Amino acid sequence: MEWYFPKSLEELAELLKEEGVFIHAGGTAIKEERIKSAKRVIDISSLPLNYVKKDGDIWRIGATATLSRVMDSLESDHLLVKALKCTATTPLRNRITVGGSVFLSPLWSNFMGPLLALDAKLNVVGKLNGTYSYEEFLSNKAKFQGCAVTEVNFQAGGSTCFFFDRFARTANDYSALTVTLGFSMKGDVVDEAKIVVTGCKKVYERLNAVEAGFKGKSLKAIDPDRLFDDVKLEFADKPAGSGPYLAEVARVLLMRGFDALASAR
Amino acid sequence: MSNIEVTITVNGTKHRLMVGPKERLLDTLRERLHLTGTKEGCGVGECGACTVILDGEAVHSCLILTAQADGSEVITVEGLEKEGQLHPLQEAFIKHHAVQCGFCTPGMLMSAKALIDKNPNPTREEIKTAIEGNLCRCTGYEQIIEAIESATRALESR
Repeated sequence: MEWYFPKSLEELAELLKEEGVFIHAGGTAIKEERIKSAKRVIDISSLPLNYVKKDGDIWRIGATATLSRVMDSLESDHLLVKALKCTATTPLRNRITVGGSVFLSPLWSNFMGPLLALDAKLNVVGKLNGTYSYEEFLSNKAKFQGCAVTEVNFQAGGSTCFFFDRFARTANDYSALTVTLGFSMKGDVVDEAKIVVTGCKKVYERLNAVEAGFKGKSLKAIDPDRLFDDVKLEFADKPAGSGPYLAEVARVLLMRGFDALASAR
Repeated sequence: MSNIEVTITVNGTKHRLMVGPKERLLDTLRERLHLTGTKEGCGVGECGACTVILDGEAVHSCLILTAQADGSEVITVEGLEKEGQLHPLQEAFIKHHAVQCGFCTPGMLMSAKALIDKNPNPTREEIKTAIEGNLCRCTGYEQIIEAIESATRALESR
């Protein structure tokens, strides 16, 4: 195994041209087969990517910032903080990096739904260079092989209210599914809605039809009981429950989320 | 790749070591530095028995490659005692019977120390969050939480 310690993004981009490389930062993936069989490991922890900063109205999070650092830096009621509070454990959050969580996008990191609802963008280097939407990244991961995520960024604040919840067997168990709702409001009416369920057969689902139904309506004018009637979510059987059970749990969490946001208004 | 030279400060003592590219910090501490207070439980970052403080943060040493800890400062359970005096956390663990088999104790102590170093007056919830990565199959956690609360009071009154 060969280790490389790039000192610049340009050097990292050059190294990524090699085949069989493994990017290493927080190190929480060291027990995984990928690193055991890796011939070349690129340690990016010395790159200047350990930051969480507000740049005008954009939050910018460097790839080597840990989940703990994100939690300490964002507003305490921020959607991502809510999601990360139920991700892994304190010692793991002290090591797990944003870049690894985003690139691998494991369900347990609870990142996927919130980043989709926040319309997050990723800066990448390697075979591709530039800024891409997180949704594009998720929908075509093969395109991003040979790349490294260097930054995640998204709009700060604004008039958007969010809800996040997840379902797991115990507080520290991996999430079986997550539910995220985000409503951009103009006065009392919804300007834009984003509703994301993760952990389903399609990995994640944006509920586009429901989102469209919200536009231009006051939350108080919507009947929550019928809201998600037509939503057909498919889940595989998991240790936390059968597929149909998880679909029902997702529907309940969606309704709870809607209730929480409507009553908060 | 051949061995990598790293310099690590452990419990205040600087060590210059040649380590293999896949060597874990846990193995370096136990096998090279003979600091066997740090335990290996699961080896996959779930039980917390191997918790140490790395540059001020509680971490699982089984998930850290020593090569990546170059230039870092590490505190293990052996670093808690000063001049023959137990740390108030250790005294509180004894007083509150927060130890049964003892295997999780070093990790619990290090998670607790990392917490109170940053937050000298943690709430019960903050204590629970700090030790959420440490499994104990003997005590049921209550005595451990009480011990940490008691240690924070003892430290505050100093």
